[in-house]
Amino acid sequence: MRQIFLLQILAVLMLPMLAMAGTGNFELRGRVMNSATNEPLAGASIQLIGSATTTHTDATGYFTLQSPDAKARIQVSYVGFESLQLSIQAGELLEVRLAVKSNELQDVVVRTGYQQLPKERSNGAFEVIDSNLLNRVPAFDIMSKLDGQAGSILANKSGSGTRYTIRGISSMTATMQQPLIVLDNFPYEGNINQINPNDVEQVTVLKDAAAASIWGARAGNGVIVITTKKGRRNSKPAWKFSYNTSMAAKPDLYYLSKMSSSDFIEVEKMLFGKGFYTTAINNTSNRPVLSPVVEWLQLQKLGQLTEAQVQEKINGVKDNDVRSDFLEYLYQPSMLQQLHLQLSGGDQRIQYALSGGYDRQKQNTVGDYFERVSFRSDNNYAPTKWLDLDAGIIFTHMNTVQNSPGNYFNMLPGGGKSVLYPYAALADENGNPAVVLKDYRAGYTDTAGGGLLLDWKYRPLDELQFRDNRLTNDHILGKIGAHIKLLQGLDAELRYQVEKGFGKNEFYYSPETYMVRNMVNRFSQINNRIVKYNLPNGGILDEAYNNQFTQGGRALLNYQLKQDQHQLAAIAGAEIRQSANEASNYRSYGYKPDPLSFVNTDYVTSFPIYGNLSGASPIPNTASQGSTLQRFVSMFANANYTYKDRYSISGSFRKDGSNLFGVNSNQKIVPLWSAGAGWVVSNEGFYKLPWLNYVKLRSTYGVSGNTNSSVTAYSTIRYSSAGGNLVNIPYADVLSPANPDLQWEQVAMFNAAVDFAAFDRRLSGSLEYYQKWADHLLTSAPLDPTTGFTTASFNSGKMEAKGVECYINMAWFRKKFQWSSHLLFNYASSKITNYDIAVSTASNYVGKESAINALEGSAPYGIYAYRWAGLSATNGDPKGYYDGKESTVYTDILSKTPLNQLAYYGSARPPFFGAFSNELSYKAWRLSANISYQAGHYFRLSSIHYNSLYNSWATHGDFAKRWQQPGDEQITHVPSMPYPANSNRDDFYAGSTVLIEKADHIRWQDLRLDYRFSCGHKKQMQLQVYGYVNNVLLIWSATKSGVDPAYGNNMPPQRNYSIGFTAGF
Amino acid sequence: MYTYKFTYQKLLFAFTCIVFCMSVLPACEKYLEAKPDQSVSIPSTLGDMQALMDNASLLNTGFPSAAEMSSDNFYLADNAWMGLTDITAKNLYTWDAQTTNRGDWSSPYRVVSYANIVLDNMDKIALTTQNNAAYKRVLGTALFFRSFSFFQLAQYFAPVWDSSKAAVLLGIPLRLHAEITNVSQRASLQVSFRQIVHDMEEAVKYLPVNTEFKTQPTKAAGWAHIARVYLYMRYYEQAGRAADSSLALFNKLLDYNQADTIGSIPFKLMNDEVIFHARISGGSSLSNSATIVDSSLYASYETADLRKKLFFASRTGGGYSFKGSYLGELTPLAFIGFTAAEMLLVKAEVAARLGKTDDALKALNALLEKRYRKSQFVPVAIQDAELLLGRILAERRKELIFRGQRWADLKRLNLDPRFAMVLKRNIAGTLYQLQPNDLRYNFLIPDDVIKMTGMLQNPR
Repeated sequence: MRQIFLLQILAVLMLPMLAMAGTGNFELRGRVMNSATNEPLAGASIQLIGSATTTHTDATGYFTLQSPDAKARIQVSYVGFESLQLSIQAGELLEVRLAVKSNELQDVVVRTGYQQLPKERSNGAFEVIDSNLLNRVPAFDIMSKLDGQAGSILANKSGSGTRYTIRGISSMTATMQQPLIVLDNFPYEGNINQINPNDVEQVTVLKDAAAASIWGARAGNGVIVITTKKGRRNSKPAWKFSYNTSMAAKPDLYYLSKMSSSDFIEVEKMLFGKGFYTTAINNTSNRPVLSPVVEWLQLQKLGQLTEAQVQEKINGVKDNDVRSDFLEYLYQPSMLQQLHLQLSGGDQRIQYALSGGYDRQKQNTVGDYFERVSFRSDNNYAPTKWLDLDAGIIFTHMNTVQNSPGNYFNMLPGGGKSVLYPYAALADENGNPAVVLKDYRAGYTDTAGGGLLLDWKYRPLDELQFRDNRLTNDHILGKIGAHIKLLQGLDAELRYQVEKGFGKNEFYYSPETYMVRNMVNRFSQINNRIVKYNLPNGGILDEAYNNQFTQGGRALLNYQLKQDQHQLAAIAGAEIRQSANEASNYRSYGYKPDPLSFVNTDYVTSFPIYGNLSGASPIPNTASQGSTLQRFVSMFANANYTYKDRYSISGSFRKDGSNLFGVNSNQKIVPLWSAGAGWVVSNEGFYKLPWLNYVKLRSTYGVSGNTNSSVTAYSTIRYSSAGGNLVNIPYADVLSPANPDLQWEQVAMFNAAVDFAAFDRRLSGSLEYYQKWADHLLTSAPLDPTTGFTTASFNSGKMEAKGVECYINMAWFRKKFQWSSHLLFNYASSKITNYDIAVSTASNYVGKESAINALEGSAPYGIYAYRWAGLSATNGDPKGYYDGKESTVYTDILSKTPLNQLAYYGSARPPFFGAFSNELSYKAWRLSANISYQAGHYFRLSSIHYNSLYNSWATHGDFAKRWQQPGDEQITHVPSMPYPANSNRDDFYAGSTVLIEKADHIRWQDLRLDYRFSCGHKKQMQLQVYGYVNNVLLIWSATKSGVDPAYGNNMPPQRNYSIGFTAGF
Repeated sequence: MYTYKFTYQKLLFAFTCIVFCMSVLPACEKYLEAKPDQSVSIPSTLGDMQALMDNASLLNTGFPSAAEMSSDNFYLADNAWMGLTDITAKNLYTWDAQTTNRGDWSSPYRVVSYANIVLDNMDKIALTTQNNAAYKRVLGTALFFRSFSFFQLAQYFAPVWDSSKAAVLLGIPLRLHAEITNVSQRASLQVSFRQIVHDMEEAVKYLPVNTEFKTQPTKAAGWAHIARVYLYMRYYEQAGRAADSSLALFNKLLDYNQADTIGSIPFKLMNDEVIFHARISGGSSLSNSATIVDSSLYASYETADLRKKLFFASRTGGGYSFKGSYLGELTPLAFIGFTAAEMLLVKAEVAARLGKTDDALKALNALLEKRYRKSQFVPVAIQDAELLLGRILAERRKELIFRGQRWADLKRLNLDPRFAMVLKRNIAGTLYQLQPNDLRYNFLIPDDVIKMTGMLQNPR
């Protein structure tokens, strides 16, 4: 008794915020956990049987109940779990393990941004990614977390930047293929990186027309609804702290196939001998860059160096590989650190969630990193029983520092070179910054100005310290909402949200930077050994500002009726949105940060350029301003009727209007709708299949839209300031030709699915079949140039797509040892069914698979190739076919081959893709791994392109495998080195079938190991420690080329290792 | 369980909802008329039209370069030719029968489309006493640019004017409206030239006498164009009258005695002699370092001729490069605008052809006086009409080097056996020739245009 009393005192001391739920002498304590995951269940309700006393668990699963008796029976229940009745005794901590209610389909809640629905009652196609899956992958942004976890989202990484698509392609415009992102209730206009993924509770993917059409004219590509974490009513304050860090090694530059320096030098020698460089060497106007070897050979020709000296110099560099210098000096391992602290809780009237996060990502280029600080507060207050008010604010600050002078891909010497020559060095033998070729011949910058000009050399390693380039971005999102119970079953909801983003880019180039020195020198004139600086000799500051302001308001009526066998849920409402953007750019010359000053600059006078490196030109003025405004007005309604828990029908309707320019007002209002039906077969009286526990059939059809604000029906013009004109006068450009027939894109979708659960619900899943008809697709198609335009947007396209999505979950063991598997199978295939634009020449299709490559009857992003007839045995020329015969007339092959004589491989995007994941858990341990696959598509290897090699130093390792003597055609397909280069010959080879490879592959995507335990006083603290590895390895690939097909000619990311922990108390 | 009942607060809430909806929906019309991009507009005002016509970077700078790359002002060293990455440029140099320069077709038609957008919209703007001057100026400018571009196209993509066959020969497509749906068809040579002349005759009615910038056409520029067109058509009387009209409005000449013979760029962009500024673009074989001025042409400049020093600089690799561009930069890319000097040459040629020897000599000497060293200048006094014409054409050749006139001159002069000539290129021992009146003088229309429109290609 005394012990209990002491305990009680202690409890009061320890938990001053404990809500006293009842009155009694005994305190009953316990903890409620998910039996499957051992995670605490917050907000579970506990009722003392035989009394009205109830309480809820706090965020760590603990509860305390006052009872008149020391021994009692309680009922523990939690949404989605089987309720449990058990005995409890004061003085001991009862561990309650609730099992997930076997009918788990019933309890998944989908959030559309307008309403929350039990998944079972909806007929649409939704995919819900819960916090469990979201937490699996540590990542800086939410989209990276979804990659591989959300089965319906396909990430295409072969281009620049990852692009996400849902259920294949339904637009021919690349910028119109991305899904709409909704944060809580409204479309999110900010940068997706500004959302701290640790604040996200759940993501719902709206896939079919019935699911998405509520979002109307922007929903044609599907919708991703991100729901942030909320507090819970009647729960004690719960803290959650998490930390993780991830690291990946420096990129593997040697993955890229490149020529050796000695091969490259041999080519330069050959070209020098042929006089290839004579024009550039004799060029005394713009002094184009020449590599050191060419300079030496020229000196040898002029008799200033002997052959032996040149050979010695060449020997000194021929084993260099500039990639090793890049890796040593300009790359670093990337590192991500994330900290997140969260507090949530609530009482009967209030619920709150507060969080703060700090993330820091060190890029793999030296000098580059970014940081994000985010704060969030989400609160809900019920002043009366019929009114619920909520308010929230999210503040994000991002700071990006970009001081890297460049990487292997973008440190270009100018003069049209696509890369540095391979034997360049970034540092000398002692590791001091070395001079790297830039813009002009070395010999010119050695002596130009006779010592009077600023140093004209470029030393990239020095640049690191001279630059101060930072981008800051502040984003505030504020929202308020009111929910009011009007009448029985009828609720009203009012919401308003405002988003304000402010971005500032500040690029300061100090006077020591090459950029400043080069500009100052170019604008200098020397007369009688006196330098006249036409461009202020000082730093340069570039500033860019952008301002985004978005407001949205919504009024909604929500009607719910449940009577006998009938169940009706309906919403109707109206919405108004406005998104304004302003951007401005400025440049200050002669800028000094301390004391802050800059120099007034003459932007009008045309100044001569030093040494006539180019024609006279005014000082560049980068000032520009822009302002855009988008407005949307929408009305919508949505209803779902269920009879006897078996039959349901649903429908939605939406009208959108927008100020999108030039569109006739009658086209501005587009009605979009959907209808669906569902039948839970297993609820029927006649249903008698004991092993198949649950079967639901559902089907929908609907139409949604897709808009592009840059396309208009009228000729539009854009004004530009005088700076861009030949004479000092503002002017206008024609942006688009008049085309009064323009309209919006429409996507109709049919979806049929079966949801099932079998064998005591060990096996569950769904199988969906869909078909899409995209019509009036905008295509930027080639136009007869006689019209004055080479391309224009037409609603000329039609596409059809069909696909199958199959999700299978299998729980092999569900006891102490648990093992579950998830199989994801996707098939998506699109076909262009109508395309009015005349077919153009073969070379416009071959090698263009990164674009839509529209051709009737074929897949978008189609891969076409010239048929290959091997290498010529006499000279190693690549042979193709023209007019049915072998040919080396490349102009004919490229421009006159009929398209039906090209080899067609289908889409560059995978028709089959999916994942297979497994999760094992035993006691506190959990191990999970994900294997992903893509199949049925092709990709194109890169190879040597002699014209690019000669002119822009673009090398490829295939050079070593080139045809060199008769007989080589038996062992290689790499053409011989010609002189002069013929770019058509190179283009033919690059576009030929011999370089096409199958892209099927299986990848072990990731692996995660978790350990959970409780510690501290009364095990109040829940700890979770984990390790995670991403990009584990490419298990199998159909191509034997060694190229990772998912990344095409980009470098695949390095394996990424993370460790982290979460503490909750 | 909450039981629902009616309260006044709820009524207020419901009322707010209704007011919100009511205020949103009827306001749609106006709300949705807001401009989505502040720097974008549908061209509707005179100011918009003028701004389009002031787009000098587009309207004055993109004219065809194939003819310059194919003409005989220059030659390339073997290795420079082999080193050319642009296959089109390479082939144009040797008059390859299957090559054409796509940009040469699209750029002038782009200018035509700008002019058409302006002309289509002019009907919607009322002419008032306040906007009279601005209105006429815009109208004249649009007609000027359309005619200028059509003529550029006609010189390169249509056969030389032949009045006897003009009705049957194919000219160029005449797009006269901005819409893009009509299929382009080639008009006859006769209709093409009628449009060119008609547009420009209309334009000179409206164009102002003076403009702020030389990228903006004036009446003098309009007449200069008419003179150029008629000279090409060999309608000498009309050409002479037009040249006179132009010279009456603008006759400034640069005195080369005052020019800077030491500096590397002797002439400024839009200098005092320029009536109207326009240039070609593209032309990757036309780089200052690669092109070598035809040696016999260089030799034809007398020592007393200041142009010899002002136009040419000796090259590091041997020969001479061109530095006398009226673009104010070191480039052989042609300035193709009008100068008073060209008008004097037209006047002189026309007078010589029409037997007005005195007039011809007067015009010729007026120009040469400004071109020869003052102390060494001896006025030309040839009395023989034939010899005088030859001399005038030689002066035309020397004055208008790298001015975009050579191809058109070759086309029309080749019709006259006295002046017809064979062009020759010699690359690494291979001799390429272009005979007078060869079909290759008319460039091919780009393949995609032929495919998309079905219009007839120039014969080969």
